[in-house]
Amino acid sequence: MEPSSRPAPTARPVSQSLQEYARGVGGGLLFSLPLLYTMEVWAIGLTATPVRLVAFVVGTFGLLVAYNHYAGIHEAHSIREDLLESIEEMGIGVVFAAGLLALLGRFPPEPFSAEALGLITIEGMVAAIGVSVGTAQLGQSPGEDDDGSGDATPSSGAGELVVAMCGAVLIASNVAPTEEVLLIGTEMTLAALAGLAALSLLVGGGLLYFSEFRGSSRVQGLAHGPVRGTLVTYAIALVASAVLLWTFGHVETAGFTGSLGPLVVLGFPAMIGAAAGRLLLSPAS
Amino acid sequence: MSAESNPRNGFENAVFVAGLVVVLALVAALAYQAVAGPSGPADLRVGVGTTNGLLVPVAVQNAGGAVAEAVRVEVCASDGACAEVEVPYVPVGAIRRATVGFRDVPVAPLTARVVSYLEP
Repeated sequence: MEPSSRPAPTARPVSQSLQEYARGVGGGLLFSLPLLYTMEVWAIGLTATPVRLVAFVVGTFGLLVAYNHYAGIHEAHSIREDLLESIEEMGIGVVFAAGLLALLGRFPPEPFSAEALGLITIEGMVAAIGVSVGTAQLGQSPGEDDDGSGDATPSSGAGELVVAMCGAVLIASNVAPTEEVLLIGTEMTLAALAGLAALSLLVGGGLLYFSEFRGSSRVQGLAHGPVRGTLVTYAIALVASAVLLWTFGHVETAGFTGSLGPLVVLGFPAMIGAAAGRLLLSPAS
Repeated sequence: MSAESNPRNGFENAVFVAGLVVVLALVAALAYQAVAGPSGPADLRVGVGTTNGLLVPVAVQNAGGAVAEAVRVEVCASDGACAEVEVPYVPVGAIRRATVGFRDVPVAPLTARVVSYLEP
């Protein structure tokens, strides 16, 4: 049998790896800095139970693997590479968050105490999402020209769903830990909540289908057409909001029925994140 | 697509191993806290330090399994004079230190107690 003339792939140069990690840290800063500077987040890190924190780690890992599969750091998107990238990003996120908290004087005096673990987990996981998105999005895509134009290929429906969830979490997590979400949500009337839900649908649908936002030509519509696509995106935003409300302990505070208002309130920024996420965080953007 | 891409270099492998160690250590520590950590409500213990003029240092330790929020600690001197301080959070297993101030030099022995706290 004649040996293949195809050359064996060589390892990426270290300089390229360093660039990718630098983009990751940049993304971590860009997306997680508001949370690192927020007192409510520190408090949640101190008060969250270990079980909830483990669930947060597992959920973040799943989200990272899914995101990396569709828009990861490196060019490869095999499951193995997705897993490796996700662990890398979580490690970078944790170290980055711990280092910055220490620099800011917010790191607890006992590094292995429950409060330190809680703080690092909450902040580190959010930073990991920032690292992932930053690494994938702040650099030049393969084949992309200096002017930013590339070969825009439509993303798959499942990919859009994952990216929408990532965008919703990224944007809504900046607001979710705050007491204001509870305050606004519990004080709004049902009519006002319905109005806010309608506004969320309107803004999200407008961003996706009518604004000619960058990348909007690639949006396939998760469920065929603007109406169903907008509804599906809002559903994703509400799921992301519910998970964040639970993670940050607001469901216990407000009660199950009392969480409806905060859910709709948080659903608004989450919808913007989900809609913009589908446009901006997609692999081909 | 993975077959077409460049394999990982040694530096990336090192970053991955470091990341894996960090993540596994974090999850293991959280799992240990969940299984073997203290349980039940907050168990607050207050200690009084050496008086420094009008100021008295206090330490609040939480030996319970739940966080205590807005912990109010009262320190009283034997002549009945009292002073209070509020500690925002005392997490599980943590010690928080504070100082209370008296109007006059407090007369020993001093006693301290937790007046109230919130369950977050």
